[in-house]
Formats: sequence, C-alpha cells, structure tokens
Amino acid sequence: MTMLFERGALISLPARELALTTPPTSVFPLEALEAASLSPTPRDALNLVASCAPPDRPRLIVARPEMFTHGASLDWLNDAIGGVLDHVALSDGETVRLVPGLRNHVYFYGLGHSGHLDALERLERRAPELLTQLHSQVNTALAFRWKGRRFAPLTQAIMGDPSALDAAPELRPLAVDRPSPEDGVALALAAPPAAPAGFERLHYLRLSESALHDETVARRVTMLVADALGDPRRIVVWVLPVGADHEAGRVGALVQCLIAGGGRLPRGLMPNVFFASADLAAERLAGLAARRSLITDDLADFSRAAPEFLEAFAAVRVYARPGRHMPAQFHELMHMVYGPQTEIDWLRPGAEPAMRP
Amino acid sequence: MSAARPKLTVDVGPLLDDVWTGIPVFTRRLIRALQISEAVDLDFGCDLVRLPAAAVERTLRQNAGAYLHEALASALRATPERVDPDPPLLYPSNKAMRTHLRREASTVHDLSTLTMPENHDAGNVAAHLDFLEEELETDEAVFCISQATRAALVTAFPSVTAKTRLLPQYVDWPADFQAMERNAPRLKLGRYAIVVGTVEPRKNLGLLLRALALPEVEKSGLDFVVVGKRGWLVDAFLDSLTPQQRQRVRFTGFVTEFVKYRLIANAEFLLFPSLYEGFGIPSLEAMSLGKPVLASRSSSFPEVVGEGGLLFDPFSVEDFAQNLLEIADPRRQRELAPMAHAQNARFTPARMAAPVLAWAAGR
Repeated sequence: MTMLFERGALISLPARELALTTPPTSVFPLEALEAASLSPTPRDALNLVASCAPPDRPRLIVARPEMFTHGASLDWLNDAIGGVLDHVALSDGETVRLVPGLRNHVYFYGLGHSGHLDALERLERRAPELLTQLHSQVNTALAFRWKGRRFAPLTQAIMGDPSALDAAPELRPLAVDRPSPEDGVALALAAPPAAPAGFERLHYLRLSESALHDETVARRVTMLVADALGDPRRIVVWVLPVGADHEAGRVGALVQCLIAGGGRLPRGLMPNVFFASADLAAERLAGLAARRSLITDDLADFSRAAPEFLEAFAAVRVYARPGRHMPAQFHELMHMVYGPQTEIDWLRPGAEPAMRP
Repeated sequence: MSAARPKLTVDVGPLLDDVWTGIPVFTRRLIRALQISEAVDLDFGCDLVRLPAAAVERTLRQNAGAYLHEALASALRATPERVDPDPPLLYPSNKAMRTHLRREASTVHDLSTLTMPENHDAGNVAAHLDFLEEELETDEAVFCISQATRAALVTAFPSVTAKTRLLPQYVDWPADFQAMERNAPRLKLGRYAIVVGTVEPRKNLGLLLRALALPEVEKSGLDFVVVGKRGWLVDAFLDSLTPQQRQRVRFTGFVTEFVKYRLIANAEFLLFPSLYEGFGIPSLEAMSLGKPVLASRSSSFPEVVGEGGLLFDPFSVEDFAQNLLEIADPRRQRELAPMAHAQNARFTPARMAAPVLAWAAGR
C-alpha cells in the first residue's frame, strides 16, 4: 500500500454520517468510529484513506472541520493533531470542508450514485473556487471549471482490500416489457437462476447508477444488448448497480436504461442477457466465455475490485463524459486501475446514432 | 459641511421582516451606527426602489417591518423612484438582485449553507449560494461580520480576499430597559444559565442534556433557560426530552427584546454551545450586562468572547462539564464580569461604522 500521508491523516466525513454517532471530542482517533453506525460506502472510503497513513502515525477524525476557521480555534486544532499535515475530506458531493493551513484532499466516494453526482455538480456551480484549493483527489480525475479555465487537483489512486467475490451469485435472464416496465422487472425476478456456460464472447457490464441515467450510455448498452440477442455465440452479464436499496429497484434501473436506449428489444426473457447481483469470481467468468470484455464507466467504483477479477478481461472499455475529467489524468488513472488494454470511450451527447425503432 | 460628506445608499430589505432577529437587527444597528457617525449622507432603497428616509426612521423606531411594507407598497403603486445610481450601495445581507450599480457591497454573515448544508433546507441553500459567486464578483467590497466569517469566505473564495472588510456589530439595548428592569418584579427562576438563539441542530443543545446526566452537573443546582424560536429539524429533539430534563431546561420560545434582556440580566452566565456561528451576538448581549459567556471553541466565539468567558470543545461533554462547573462558581463569575464588560466595550457603533465610511469615501 502506498503511504500517501507520511505524517498521519486527519479525516472528515459528511456531517450526516456522524449524526447517529456521539463523537467523544472534536478530534478523535479513527478507532473510536469502529463501532459507529456509518453507511457502507463512506465506511469503505474511510478505511481506504486511513490505510494510506502509516499505522504508527496519527489517524484522526475531525468531527466538524468548519469550526476551525482561524485564530484560537485553529491553533487548538493544530495542537490536537500534532504534526499531521494532510486533511482528507470524504465527500458525498454536497460540500467539501477545508482546513486552513493543511494540505486538503478530497475523496468523492460513491459518485456513481446520481444523487452524489448531482450534488457535486451543484457544488461546482456554486463554489468552483473552493475546489481549486484542493491538493489532490482520491480515485478520480475530475476536472472543474472556474473563470473559463479547467483545472484538476492531482489524482491519488488508492486500491483497498479487494471485496470478497461471491463464487456463485445467481444469474437470471433479464426481461424488457416496454409498455409495462414493471412487468418486465417482475418477470426477470421470477425467472429461475440460470447456469450459462461455453459462449464465445462475454460482455460484462459493470455500470454505475449514474451512468444508467445517461442517454448516450443507454443507447450504447441497448445496441450491445440488441447485437448480442442477434448472435447466440455472445452472452451479456450485467451487474446490478449499487444504489437502489432493493433488488427490484436495481433490476428496474437496468430495464429503464434499455427502454431509454430506444430501439426494439423482444418482449419477455432474453435468452443470453443476464443480470447478477454481484461481481462474479474469475473462475466463473472463465467458464462463461473464452473472450471476455469489461464495460464500465467513469463513475463506477473500482476501489475494491480484486486483481484476479480485473485480469479475467482481455479488453476493458470505459464510458466517460469528456467534460467531467482531465483527459490525460483520467487516462492514466484508468490504465493504472484496469490495465494497459483499457480503452476510454468518450461519450459526446448527440454523437450516437439512434437505433431503428 | 454636509456637502463634503460621502453619500451612501443602504438596502433596507432585511427590515421588511415582521419580527426582527439576526440580520434585521444587524441592519438596524448598522444604520444607527452610520447615523451616529454624522459622516455620511444616507439614502435608502429596497431592490433598487428608493424609500423615504422618514419611513425607514419610523420603521427603526417601531422595531418591526410593517411600516416599511406600507412604504414599499406605496412606492410601487406610484411610479417607483429608482435609487440614485451614483452613490455606493450597501447590502447589509446578500444581494437580493442580480443587477448592479457601479459601486456595490454586500455583507456575508456566515457560510453555513456551504459548510453545513445538512442544517438548512434546500431552498435556503439555493437562495444563499446560487448567486453568491456572482455577488462577490460584482461587489467592490465584501463586508464580513467577523474574522471567522472572513476566514471561511476566503477559504472558499480566495480571489475575494482583497475586497473583504470586517463589519463587527455592537449591542444597542434601548436606554429605558435598565430602568424598566429595576422597576419590574423580581424573577423567580432560581439559579440559571441562559441560552439565546433559534433552537436548531447546530446549537448543539444535546451536549447540555448529556452533561446534565453527569453527577457533578446534576448536583450543581443550576437550571437552564433557552430563549428563542423553534427552528428547523428540532421537533424530534424537543419531543425526546424527559420530564427530568424539562425541569432543568426550560424553553421559552420567542420573547420580546425586553424579556430577553431581563432573562439575560438575571442569569448567572450565558451558555453558547453552538457548533458554528457567524458572529454570535447573544455573547455580546450577555457581556454588555456583565455576564460571562461559556461558549464553544469554534468559529467566531474566540474573537467575540475574548477574555469575557470560557471556551470548551463542543463535542466533549467532559470539557464542557469542567468549564460549566468553573463558570458556575460565583467567585469566578465575579472575576469574569469586568472582563466581559471590557470585551463588550470593544464593539461600538464607531467601530461598526468605520469600515463602511471608509468604503463610501473611496478608501
């Protein structure tokens, strides 16, 4: 693990995450949050960032960084954190709290949730200059605009402990019912688990919830699904996005994406298009098809992807919005994460041919 | 002599509020401070519509926005007269309009909508932040009500640093309050500390409740009176209070200025456990009456409270309790009282007027 914060790290979380916790003091050791009730995504983000500070250095939480504006309160904070030089703001996009005098970094965790992305876009519109103060961004290469110029804090790529991959998440066929999407969802959920194997080519879709709302992504995916339906040698496996709190909502997001993508897809269960509730293990992927490609997007969380999972794909395509990132920085990040075979597919609104109805 | 005085238009929009707390009171103090200085020719407007000085004066005397509503409606019924575009225009709060004159300044009270959005409804956040950058850009000067607010502002918008000026307010109790209090029947509230301000999550009253569970605080015999209207997101908090807690912590709701004065004057000290304040005027109000302040070590408190009170970590119930017991000691209160007076004396009408006068004069 790369040690990014050699003198230790001061970490802040969105205030709503601490709402159910009673911090013992304004600044306290990370360990005091071990039993705290945090949402899973910020909990992961916290562990990820904390892992980048040496274990023998302070790893501290600041409950409300905005309290320490200047003068006596800021002096008190500096005394309390010892020689720590780095503050990492874990942000859901709603705001980024900076600590004057420290190197401020941000980790926009969960940007794949459309609510977080919307919040960040609002923040950029309202206080773009705030974002110019950031020393670095963790696991993103976002570009912001201020006074007609684009800028991007440095990118720090951090991979956490890989998620344990479920050896056998169920695969069930997806169904689209354009006049009645909820019937399509119900049909898919009621279908018995399948055990497909031995295809020539696998398209593995690992898209964020934000991407599913993107019209261009929807068209690309719908075309891919339509092509696969016309070629029985191909199989599509689509991992449900993290976001909706129940499976029907997550399957519904896939179905809505296909409907938004236009074109005519056959009504009912699709024979070679499946959804999975979680990522498949490498061995399972190998059994599905000989040639495997991963299709993901710029906001999908990769921080806990297992190396053996990523290595199972010969090709990786990343859908990305050009205005959202600093291209060279983003390219470098994606290659570091997914490997040199990664292709960035810059999506330009309106550039996509419409599907035949 | 008066011909040489600079002219200044003040947007009195905040005075339209029916009940004056916070920014309307700040606006009143600002206008009075400028009047006392006799160093500027004042004109008044609201959203660039000129308002008669007499209507504003009557409003200031009444301490309520009703008269101003009437004056504004009357101005709008006729052909509205625009404010003179030449003198500088000062907004005592954020600008209400996107259009601007040649020389404008607005006032930033705090940045809690940016740094604590979870404590505001979305509409309030949008109203404050959607045009803030544009406001700052078109302002010739940006007044900040405290060093803390200035620090928060320039942290988020560093390019505005050179435009910022401090505009600290002062306390202006009506002259007859002291005599009225002397002649009023004695309050029978026992020993108590007072908390003043809208009851809302960032006021951090949960800390007080946790401290009351500590045996040493429980035994202190001190009660707490919370003065202020019920704010946003506090219903669940208030509903959760136990009967024992309600005995020790009493909520008055909104009270008149004189009742607030009385309650502060008879308290042992003021408690201000907020997580964040742009200025925290109740601190100064208490110190003006010789009452020390027990406040959070956060944002504006260290600069406003100074030596006139004690500061604590607003997340640490132990630190809070220790300081609470110290300030509850009458001997300590007697030591702090002169320092509280002295600290309040640093905040005067002249100090508030000075930066505005300098700006109006082009300095």
